[in-house]
Amino acid sequence: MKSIQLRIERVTMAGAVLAIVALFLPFVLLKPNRVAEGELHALIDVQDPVLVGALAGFAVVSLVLATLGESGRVRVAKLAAGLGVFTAAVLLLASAGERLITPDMPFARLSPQIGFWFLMLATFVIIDGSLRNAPFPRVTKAGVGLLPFVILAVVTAAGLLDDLAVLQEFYNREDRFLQELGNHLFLSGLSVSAAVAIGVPLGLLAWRRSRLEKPVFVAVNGIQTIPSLALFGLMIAPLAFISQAFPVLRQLGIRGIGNAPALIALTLYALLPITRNAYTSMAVIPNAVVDAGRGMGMGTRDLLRLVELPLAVPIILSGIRTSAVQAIGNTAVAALIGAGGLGAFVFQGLGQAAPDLIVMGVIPIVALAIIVDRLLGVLIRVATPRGIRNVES
Amino acid sequence: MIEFKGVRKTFGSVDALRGVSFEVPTGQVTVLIGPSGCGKTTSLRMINRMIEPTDGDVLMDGKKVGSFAPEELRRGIGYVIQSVGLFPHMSVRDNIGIVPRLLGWEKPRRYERAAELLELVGLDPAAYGEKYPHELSGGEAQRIGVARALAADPPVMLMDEPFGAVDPLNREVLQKEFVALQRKLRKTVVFVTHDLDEAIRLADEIILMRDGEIVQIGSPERILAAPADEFVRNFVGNDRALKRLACFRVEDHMQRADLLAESDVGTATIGAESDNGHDGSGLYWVHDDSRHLVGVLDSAALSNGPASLDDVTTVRARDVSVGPLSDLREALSRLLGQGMRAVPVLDKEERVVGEVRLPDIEALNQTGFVR
Repeated sequence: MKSIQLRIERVTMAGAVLAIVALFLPFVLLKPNRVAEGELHALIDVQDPVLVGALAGFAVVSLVLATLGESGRVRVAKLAAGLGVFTAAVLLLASAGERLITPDMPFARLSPQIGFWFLMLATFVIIDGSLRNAPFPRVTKAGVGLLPFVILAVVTAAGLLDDLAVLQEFYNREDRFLQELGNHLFLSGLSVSAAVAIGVPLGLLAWRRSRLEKPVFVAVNGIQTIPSLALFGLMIAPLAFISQAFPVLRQLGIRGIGNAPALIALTLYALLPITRNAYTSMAVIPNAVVDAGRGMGMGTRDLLRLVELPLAVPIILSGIRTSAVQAIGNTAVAALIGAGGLGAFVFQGLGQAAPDLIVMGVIPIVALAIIVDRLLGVLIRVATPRGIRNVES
Repeated sequence: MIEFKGVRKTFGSVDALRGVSFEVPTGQVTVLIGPSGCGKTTSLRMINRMIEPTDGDVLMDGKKVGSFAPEELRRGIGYVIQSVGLFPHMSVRDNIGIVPRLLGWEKPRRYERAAELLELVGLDPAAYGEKYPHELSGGEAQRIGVARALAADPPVMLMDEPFGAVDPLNREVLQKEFVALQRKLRKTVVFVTHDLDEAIRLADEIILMRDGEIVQIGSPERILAAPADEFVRNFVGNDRALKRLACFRVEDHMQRADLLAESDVGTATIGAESDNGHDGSGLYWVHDDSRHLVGVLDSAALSNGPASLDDVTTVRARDVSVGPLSDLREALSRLLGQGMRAVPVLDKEERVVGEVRLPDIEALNQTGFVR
């Protein structure tokens, strides 16, 4: 509900309040080396009055803007304030490295703390507030959403954030990082492809032969209920046995641990959304449409080409989208059975009680999932015929 | 001509058709009607081989439909169903152009044809051509369904309860348009419905079915006047006399009307321009300069010399009139509703072209049942 007297726009207001609260929370953790106990520092300790002042200024400006309605100019101002909060916070991390780390601690490293994360969150809430229901085209909104990442990339590439523990962990493992990233993409990509190759025909078959519908979905639903860790574990024994029994397979690299069980388990997990959507894509085509098509003289192939495929493809693609995002997350767990991937860093970090290493593994996994989700989202939009675009999503 | 010869159909253990034989005359509207499950839709779908008979033959121009490839056969037969089945991902003009597309027409020719057909079913091609099905009302969608079926100009149209899902008001409009369209196109139409009023309005011939068998074949008027048995009598109902009026078109039973220009009201006298004094309705339809109906004047007002404008009862043309293609049932309803001796018949330009008189309707009803 709108408040008549003040016309407070709540989203931006929430972001601004969050940013102001964040000013008083611990900002960074300074550790003399990787394993030593660290020391928390607030923004005040960074002793950079210009940047801290700017940050506080942007936060307060956001707060004021939240009461000024939603005209185009106010929106642009909110956006600028949000980006200002973001930029100041990131630069303060760099500044903290410069001012808090003295020459007598060559291995010192910084980790962002809750104050910093609150500022990140506040940024996105404020930017969201500025774009909400805005009459801008989609492309503009998407572009604006990317701006913080561009700023972050520039600051990182300039080497300003090298004192951050996450980046230090990264620099220590730069070669392996690329290798595991490739591994991760290979495992998720191949398993989703395999799931498409199996799941789409399976879903269509379940639709054509209604007798198969139940068994197919009991099976793929059943797989989904097994916890991922258990499924990976379950693969070990039978595959080890098969690999022992058939040396040819062993030479192909099929063993109880490693890529083979990971790929199988990941494929099985990816099946449900793909199979279900393939089935649904056919089930939602109205009977009347098929009847009209056949009655006007479409053969099976005409019907498929002109009617069924155009209507089904967007739904099948959105099943693939769900599976792909899931697979990227599940692949992280595959590292436990020696398959590699970015999960390797996460489990290594867990083993060494090094949270920075965990974060270093998690950030690219999340980024990957988001990128794949967005790319497939664009693909689905393109593949959706205009007549049904407004109807769905 | 389409011909059914001893056609049977069983679905599992159910007899859907128990050996029916009938003919569908070329260029006429044949309506299959009966309660649910009587086999009317099954019969219709056998003509374009959507269903194959268990036994017997369906012939088209003397050749068994089974001898044609189903796709080829269907492209030459228009097909309209109750739920329309427009392709949701195609624009209106692509929907209309689908059979031409299957026949290999080039795009410009298809679009040209689509525009023609939109015009024919009373929709503006510029406004509707690029719309999508979800942007259409039920009535618009059904018009486009009809346009789509007409796209390749097939001689035969199959229509399975095409107006069944449209609200009653729009249904009547669509039925009237269908009648007008059919006068122009003279297609061989097989039309399935369970709505007797619709059958009476549209049919040249009605085939009444029940439990997979034909109960009676005949013109609507015939079936209402002389039901073959108790079942038909019940089916047509107690108000068959009234229903029968729907078999007659206004244009076939209207009489010459007396017109009077508004400006002449003050000078007109009885018989001045009328043969209407005694056996007619005794009503003058008063029109304005653009010949639009504005009121009615009772000739009684003229008996004491010229009348004045005060004697003219103002009417709203739309409320009192019927069209040439309306049926007599509607005319009677207007007569009773307005409490007048006659209703004016207006053409498209809202000019009076005749009138329908109450005694004529009464006479018609009596002769019908004696015959």
